[in-house]
Amino acid sequence: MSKNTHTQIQEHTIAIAGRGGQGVVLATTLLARAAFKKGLYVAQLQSYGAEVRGGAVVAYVVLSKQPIENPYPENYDLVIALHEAGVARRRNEILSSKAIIADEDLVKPIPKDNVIRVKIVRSGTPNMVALGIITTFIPAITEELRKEISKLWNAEENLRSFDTGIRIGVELLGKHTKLRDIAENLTKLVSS
Amino acid sequence: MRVEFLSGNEAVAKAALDAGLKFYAGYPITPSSEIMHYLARELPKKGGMFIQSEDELAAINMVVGAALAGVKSMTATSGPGFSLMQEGLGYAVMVEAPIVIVNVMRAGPGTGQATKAAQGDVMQARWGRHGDQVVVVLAPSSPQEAYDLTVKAFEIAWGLRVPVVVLSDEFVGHGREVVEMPDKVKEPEPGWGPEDYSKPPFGSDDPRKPPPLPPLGEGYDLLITGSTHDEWGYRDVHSFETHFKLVKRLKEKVLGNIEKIFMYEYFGDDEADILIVAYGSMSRPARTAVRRLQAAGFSAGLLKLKTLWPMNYDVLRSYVKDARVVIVPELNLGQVVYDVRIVAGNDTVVVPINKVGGGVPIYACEIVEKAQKVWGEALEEALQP
Amino acid sequence: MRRLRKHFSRKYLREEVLPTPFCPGCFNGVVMNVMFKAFEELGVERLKGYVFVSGIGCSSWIPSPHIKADTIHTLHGRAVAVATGVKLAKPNLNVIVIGGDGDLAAIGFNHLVHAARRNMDLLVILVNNLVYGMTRGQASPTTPEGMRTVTTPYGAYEPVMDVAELIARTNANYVARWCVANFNQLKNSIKEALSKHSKGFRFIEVIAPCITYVVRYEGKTPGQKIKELMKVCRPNTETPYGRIGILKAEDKPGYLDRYFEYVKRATEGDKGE
Repeated sequence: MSKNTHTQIQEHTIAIAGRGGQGVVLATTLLARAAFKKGLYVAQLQSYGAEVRGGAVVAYVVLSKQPIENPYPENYDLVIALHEAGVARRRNEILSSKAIIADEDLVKPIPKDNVIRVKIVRSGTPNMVALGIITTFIPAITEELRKEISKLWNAEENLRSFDTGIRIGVELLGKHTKLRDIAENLTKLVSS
Repeated sequence: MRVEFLSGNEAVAKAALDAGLKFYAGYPITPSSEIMHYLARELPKKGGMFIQSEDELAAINMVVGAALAGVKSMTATSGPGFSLMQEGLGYAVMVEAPIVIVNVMRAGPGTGQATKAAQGDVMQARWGRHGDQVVVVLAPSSPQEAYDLTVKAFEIAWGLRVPVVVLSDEFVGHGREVVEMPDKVKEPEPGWGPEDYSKPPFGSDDPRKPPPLPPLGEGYDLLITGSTHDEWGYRDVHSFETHFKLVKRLKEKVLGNIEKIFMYEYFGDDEADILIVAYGSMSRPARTAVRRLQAAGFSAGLLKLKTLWPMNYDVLRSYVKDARVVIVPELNLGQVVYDVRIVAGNDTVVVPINKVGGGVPIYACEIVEKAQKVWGEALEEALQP
Repeated sequence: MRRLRKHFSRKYLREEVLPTPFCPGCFNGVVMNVMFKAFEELGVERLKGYVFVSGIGCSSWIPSPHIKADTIHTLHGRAVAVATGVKLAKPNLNVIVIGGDGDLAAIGFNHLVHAARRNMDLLVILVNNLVYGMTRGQASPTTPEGMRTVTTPYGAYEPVMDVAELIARTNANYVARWCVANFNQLKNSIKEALSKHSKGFRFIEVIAPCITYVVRYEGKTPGQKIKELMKVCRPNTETPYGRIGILKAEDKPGYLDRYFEYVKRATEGDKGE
């Protein structure tokens, strides 16, 4: 007898691609912790080199209402690309993702319509700006994220960059329907 | 119930403390170091001993010394360190020291890729020592299982006086997930009691029961040696009978308890046409692949192995025999696939998916694609006159 | 008929395993006897609470299986590491390592020197017989230059390692070197290392040339060699085997003292890194 196991599993992934030293892993850790505190199941993984600074880094967070089945998604719902190095490291996964918000200075142009280019790194502390953008897609965790960031040693400056990111995110969501669809799916995770 | 957001490495360290760990010796190595970092902070506060050893040879031998002194002890390492520990691990088998070794696998051989996940140490964990010996090898697939299987590792080690290897990998060790832990863990008990102290410390009438390990320093005058010895520990490096009896008992002690040791999970259709056999981190995309195959109308299932050694070939056979196609995804060039081939009949097509390096997992889509392709070919062949 | 009195050392021995496997005249017997004399003079009647750890080599057979106490016979070179594990797991035990030059100065030197650096609370007795005596007398790090062995058939050409001096340069509390002919001094050293200086790392090297592969090579009998060593090994003099005597005797806190101090910091408010 066949067990009815092929029910749909809702797992959403947000990735940050960058370069060692940009705080990519820290940002996804804070994001994951904030989501965990809001009662979500979370998986956070990263790929980086042996060196502490300078290598390519890709880190991501898988979010779900149920225990995570598979923390190795072949592409992501949302990618914030902070440096070309990270994009090169996971090119296939990133290019097949639903939306990519890429830094216009440090990421080479990608001729695809799911890529949106904005000023991220030059707007503030790169990982905090990225977190700000991300939180506009899933506003229910904004306060938890703010709490996590407040614990960092450089809280004031980081929170400023975080708010800058929120402004950028709100603007982008206003402009792009594709992004609004993603935000809608992510928001559903914490609502109800 | 404690619910925390932990990396697999942190989960291992917490589990060890919950299981009564009192001694840790280790040498830093990526990607296992976080286990050591956690215990460096917590173990001294909990009345335990923590020592950063001069190398992995020292680490495992210190751990063996502490275990022989009656204290729950553990070390953690990765590929190159695990290679150095093979000598001590073989010694632990011979003197029946109940130790736990965690190997957070990275890509090898040599220094390989220190920060990249791999599953290439399965055969080494099973067979890395010289001589005839059996150790237990467990493979967690998530931080949750890293916690659960580490506790289990202490249960098996102390229940049977046998070394247990927890074969984690970089994905599991560095990946953070939600882990649920009971408020209080019952500390694993030794498989012997003070009433057994007068019995021979290296022999047992029932090969499935471990001999007692009386505490050092209390007048039992224990005679412990890594050379071939009789049931009281007297060295006998000449006779066939003593050696054969000893190594046979050490093997039967583990194999005779395989029902308790061998752990697995099955997910999917009964008697599935397409079976995926996977373990550790790569059992996670395998499960997604099974669901996708089912959604596409295939009869599919996943056999997830939590114990990689000793292998229960009867269980493996019972799942493989009904399958037309068996896919074995591994982050190596093919190791557990040999187990599947041993039990597969002529009508079953066994196909490995091998990928290793760069910290790249085997994606669910790759497993689905391969399964469909192999299924199509098998079908075509079956239709040939 | 006169009844023979039982030799005092028998109370420390597992009599059922006698005789020892040592060559007739082997100096391991002397080391063993001197050590037992030290125990007797210390008033130790029964070696309960003592754990003897050894590795591989002739001198590793001194404790295992002969000494009636807890004995752990480990892998080649790993005795100090296992002993460290035992001592840290059960700090109340007296842990003594006995090993040869191959075991402690070659394959196990890393463990030895780090245990010394840590001032680990162990007594290590190095029975330096100058070769790998158990396995046909191959050259070891302490084989005298020029000596012919199966692995140096044209005469050893590698410089000799002075183990006691090296260990004396570490943080070890107590370091001494005696020849096997210095019976009393050796006995007193062992007594000191178990009583007056019972903390930290204590290291005693005993020059006890292998009678089969060194003494016979020199064309001497064991008796002649002992007589020669009595002349050569005057306390506090330089000899072909290095400086003889107590090289170091200090009372710094041992590893465990320092560890418990560290634990106190951890439990009394230090938040850690």
